[in-house]
Amino acid sequence: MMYLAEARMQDVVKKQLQFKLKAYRGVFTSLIAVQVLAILFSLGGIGMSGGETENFSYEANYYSGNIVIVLTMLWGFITAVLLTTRAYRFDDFSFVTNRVSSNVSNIYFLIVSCILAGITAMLSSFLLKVLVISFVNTDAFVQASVSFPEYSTGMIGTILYIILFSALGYLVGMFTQIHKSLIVLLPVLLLSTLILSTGHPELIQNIIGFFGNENSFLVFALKTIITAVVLFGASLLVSGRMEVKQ
Amino acid sequence: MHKGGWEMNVIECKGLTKVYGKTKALNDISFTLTENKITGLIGRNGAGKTTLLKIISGYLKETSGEVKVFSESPFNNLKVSANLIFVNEEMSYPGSLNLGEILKAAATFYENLDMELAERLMNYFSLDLRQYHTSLSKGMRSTFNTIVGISSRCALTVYDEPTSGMDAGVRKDFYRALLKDYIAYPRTILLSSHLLNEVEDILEDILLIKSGEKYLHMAMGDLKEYAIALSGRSVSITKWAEERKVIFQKSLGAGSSYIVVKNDLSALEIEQARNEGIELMPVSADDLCVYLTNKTIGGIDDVFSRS
Amino acid sequence: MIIISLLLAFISVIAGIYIFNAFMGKYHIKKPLKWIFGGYAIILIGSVLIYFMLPEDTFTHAKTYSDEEIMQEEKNQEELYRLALNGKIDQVDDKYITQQWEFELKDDRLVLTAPEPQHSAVTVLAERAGTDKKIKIDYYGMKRIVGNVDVSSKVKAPELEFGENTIHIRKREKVNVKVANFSKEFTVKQFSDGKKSESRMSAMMDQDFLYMQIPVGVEVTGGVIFIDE
Repeated sequence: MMYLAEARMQDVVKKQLQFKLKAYRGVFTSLIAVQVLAILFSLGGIGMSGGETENFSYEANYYSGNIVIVLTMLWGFITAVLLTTRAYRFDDFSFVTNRVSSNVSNIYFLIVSCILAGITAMLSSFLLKVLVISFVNTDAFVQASVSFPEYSTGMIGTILYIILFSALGYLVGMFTQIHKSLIVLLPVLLLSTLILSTGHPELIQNIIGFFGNENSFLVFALKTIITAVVLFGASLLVSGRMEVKQ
Repeated sequence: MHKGGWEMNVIECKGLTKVYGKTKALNDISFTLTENKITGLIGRNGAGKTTLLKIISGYLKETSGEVKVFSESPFNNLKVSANLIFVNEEMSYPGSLNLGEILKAAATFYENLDMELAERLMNYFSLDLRQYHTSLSKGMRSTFNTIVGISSRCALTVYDEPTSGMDAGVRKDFYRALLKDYIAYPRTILLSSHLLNEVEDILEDILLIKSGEKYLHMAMGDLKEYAIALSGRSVSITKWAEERKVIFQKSLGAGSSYIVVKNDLSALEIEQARNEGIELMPVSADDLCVYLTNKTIGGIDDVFSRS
Repeated sequence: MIIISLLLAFISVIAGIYIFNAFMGKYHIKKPLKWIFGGYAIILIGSVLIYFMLPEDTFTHAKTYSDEEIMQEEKNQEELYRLALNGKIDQVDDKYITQQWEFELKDDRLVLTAPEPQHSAVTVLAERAGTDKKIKIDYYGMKRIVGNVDVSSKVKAPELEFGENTIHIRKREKVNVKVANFSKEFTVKQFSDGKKSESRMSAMMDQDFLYMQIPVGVEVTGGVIFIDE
């Protein structure tokens, strides 16, 4: 009787995650590049107001890590799309895998990356402040006091936003892998719906509002986690029967 | 060819069919591979070798019929994946890892992988652990892939045209390494090639497919006896040819002909043939495979003969 | 607008995929990669440490004003000026007086001089009070809110030069205030208790004025507005 190696799903997923964290470290290089770029953009301020009277003039510049967070969300989306492309999808098949373990380890990898991205995005707001204080000449540096719990909640919120975007990117990427024509079709479909619905931008506003106007952190967390689970789950279903056509 | 005791079926195919759009890449293939044998999958380009291997490896899903590897359906099967390695020239590895890191990663997935052997083979074939897979030449890449294939010691090792792009010397060395490691650590090996002469020395069994269909599946030794060539004056040869299925025929000019027929001649018939001045010769397995997989029985000469 | 921004987002996604792809594979920058990760982590943690080591007075803690509060403040200031102009200075809160002067005249006349145009200096309101030669001057400064911070202290009271029978209002330097405002990240703001959206408006009208009490019978020359009795 021949000896056959046992393969438990959780072991394989764990090995794949470790493998991906090492092999796809380029993801983190691009994260740093995006965040550094975003910090440079942010140094110019995200908004300003000014005014003048006979003997008084003022200029108020507003700074925040918003650009860093938004670009990091975009990074999450792109990274997820990238993981669904053939080059990365087939890497798993050179080793032990099936479609479920390959996807689950991708999802874990994305979540780990998003957590890291969220933490660095929020920490970079300190870097931004230190840079502004060092290089911007003003009469006053004004800041709204943020308590530690408030800041931590914001950090988790940021992470959840990034995960949400990467879950969306993963599903979009998976769809485009079903058939090449979907790469063109999907955005065309999206854009034409938008053009047809101009004047009725409620849909987009509703979607953005569904997450963005939610002031209760717990409800927000619930909304994003459930949405991400649904999106990732749909990707699993889409890819479950996909063949490896190298 | 029996090694005694009962044998477990490693691969079982029943009526296996794969359809791409309107073309049938595989048509109703049935065969069984038993444990610890080296089987060669032989066929011309486009015969469906790669499709068959990819279905066995769980890359593709069969359209109809049944395929079992270790008694389980290979598509989306983790157990099959853990005990099978599929080596082909399209093996993709992350560009960020060098060969040493790829081997280390492979070792975490394949618990039987012999790192020491892998490193010794790498050294022998002048591959540097610090090189990157994408920067290797085609032949070097094939060499690396086959090293992963040998050293991972999977219960089922599948090679698809493993030597493409390799130098003649490297090919020989590779097959020798494969055979040596196979003898030390028996396992089931299925390897495809369109050149039988290259692999016939190490094969125990041969599975010949033609246009997506199984043509024959037999022991290598049997294949060598499978056919016989008759050569002599065309008049007498034609008589022999009429009575049996001709696998291959060609005109040698000056009124003589050469045919290959199934080797089921009785001792009496052999005697009779010799008396008619016909020369009887064995047919090499290599030539036989070429003849068997030809579309016409005349081969390329037919294209040029005007008669 | 939405379409354009979505198109831009789409284009950047496609561009991003190509650029990121290059990051992932083609460049085998291994040694520097460790330095890049480590360096970034050190910079981030370092900036957190530096931030917390900054002296206490680096930041002015902003009181977040809403649009309504700012508009209310401007209304208050107009109201205050109107009260003063209508002789109801006693109804104005003393807290607005930021500086006071007393000055004794030699004769029965007062000459007030100021650089032209005079309003670039300060508005001067006056009432008749008392019969001695003493003049009382109060400066009513106004609140100025810029970028959610009260910068009233930046606007100094005008400087007065007293002669025998003259008061000269020095030309005030124009005050330029620059404020760097660190706003909360939207992900922080979303779950913060103070839901009030911060205003980008400012209250900064030049409503400040000098209020003089001039003895009865003193003849005044210069830009003085006598309030209605």
